[in-house]
Amino acid sequence: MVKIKNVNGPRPVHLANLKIINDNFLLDICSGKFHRISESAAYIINELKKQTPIKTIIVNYSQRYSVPRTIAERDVELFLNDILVIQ
Amino acid sequence: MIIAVSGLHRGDNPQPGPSVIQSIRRKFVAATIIGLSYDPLESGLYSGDCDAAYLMPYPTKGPRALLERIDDICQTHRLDVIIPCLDAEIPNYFELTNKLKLRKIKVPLPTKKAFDRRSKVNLKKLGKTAHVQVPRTIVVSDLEATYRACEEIGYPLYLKGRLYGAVRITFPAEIAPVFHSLMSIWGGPVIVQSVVDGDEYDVMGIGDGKGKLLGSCAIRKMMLTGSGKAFAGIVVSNPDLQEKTERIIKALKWWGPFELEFVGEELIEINPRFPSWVDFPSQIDCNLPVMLIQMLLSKPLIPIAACQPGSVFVRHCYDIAGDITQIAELSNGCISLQR
Repeated sequence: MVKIKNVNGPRPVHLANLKIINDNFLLDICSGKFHRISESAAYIINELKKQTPIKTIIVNYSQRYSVPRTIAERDVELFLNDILVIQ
Repeated sequence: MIIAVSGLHRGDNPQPGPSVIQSIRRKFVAATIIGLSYDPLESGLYSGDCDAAYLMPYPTKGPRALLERIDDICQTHRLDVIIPCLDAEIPNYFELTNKLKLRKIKVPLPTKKAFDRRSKVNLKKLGKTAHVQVPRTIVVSDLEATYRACEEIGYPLYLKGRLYGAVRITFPAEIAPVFHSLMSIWGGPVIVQSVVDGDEYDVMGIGDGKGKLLGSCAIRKMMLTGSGKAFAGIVVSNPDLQEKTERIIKALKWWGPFELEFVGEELIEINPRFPSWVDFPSQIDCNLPVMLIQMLLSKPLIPIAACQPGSVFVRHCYDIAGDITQIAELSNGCISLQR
């Protein structure tokens, strides 16, 4: 089960509770908190919600944003380090 | 159908009456709504919501004065339902239950036992029964005990009145004037309660009297007035909050409208009536005042769907023009109003 920490402070939230609106706005329907996010963050969260494997997300991210694979891997993993707790 | 509603003032500390009336009118357009007012300057008297309004005796005058006034009103407007929207009124209505039944006037009231169990004084005990966390609370009746309780709980803390009012206390010198003020306005006891940090959530709903919820709506308060009331809110779908609400309602076997107030994980207060934001869910297919009327009139109930998370409300205020003759008329006891 994938949870996210730090989106709403120290309490983890479930991906299922996250709703992305207009590709740049994130609502947690459980806590009622919302955040502006980048389009690339929205893309990664959407892929996580679809349970796309991380390696596949990196490949797709690299193609989508026309960045080298190593940059994509760094970007995605940094983002996951910031927001993800995987159990 | 003639329905009387009290608690008509909107402002920094908005009362639920106008919101309840608007919700009722969404379904019962032709209903006659009578405003029960305590002050000619209550804003709901001038907003076009009521067909007529009557000045009422303050609750401290007791149930006999209330009944006399209700009988006066019924000479002109034969009331079918009275919806009290202020906590201070409810004890008098308990006293009048049988007399109002004889007059065929329906009033939505929980049982006296449930009403007492959810009071601020007893909330900690209810929380233990329902396994819902309540902030550390000490009930006091004199100033000495208040000082001791404040030292025990630690600063900052809240001093709360029996029915209304909550004042944040950060050091001992503030205690005495606040204690005396709360005692003089509401009488004892005073509640000393620890401060809880976190987001504020409210859940409103209707209980069926057997332990079940007939409908509910949970919001996170997005914007607060100076007195801590919700000025904007967003619907949430929070299983933990929902379970706590269900446990509380089950423990109380609550009948009728309620509002639970949470800060973070902790239950702060239970209000025995609809909140001032009740018309917001009425606009998104969760009209609980209408459901209440249907319950009171023993009509079949249409199940209410859950409110959509992400639905939001923002409160707006506007100026209403009137004339001094309206205030003069109501100060004489009653007024017919134009919708």
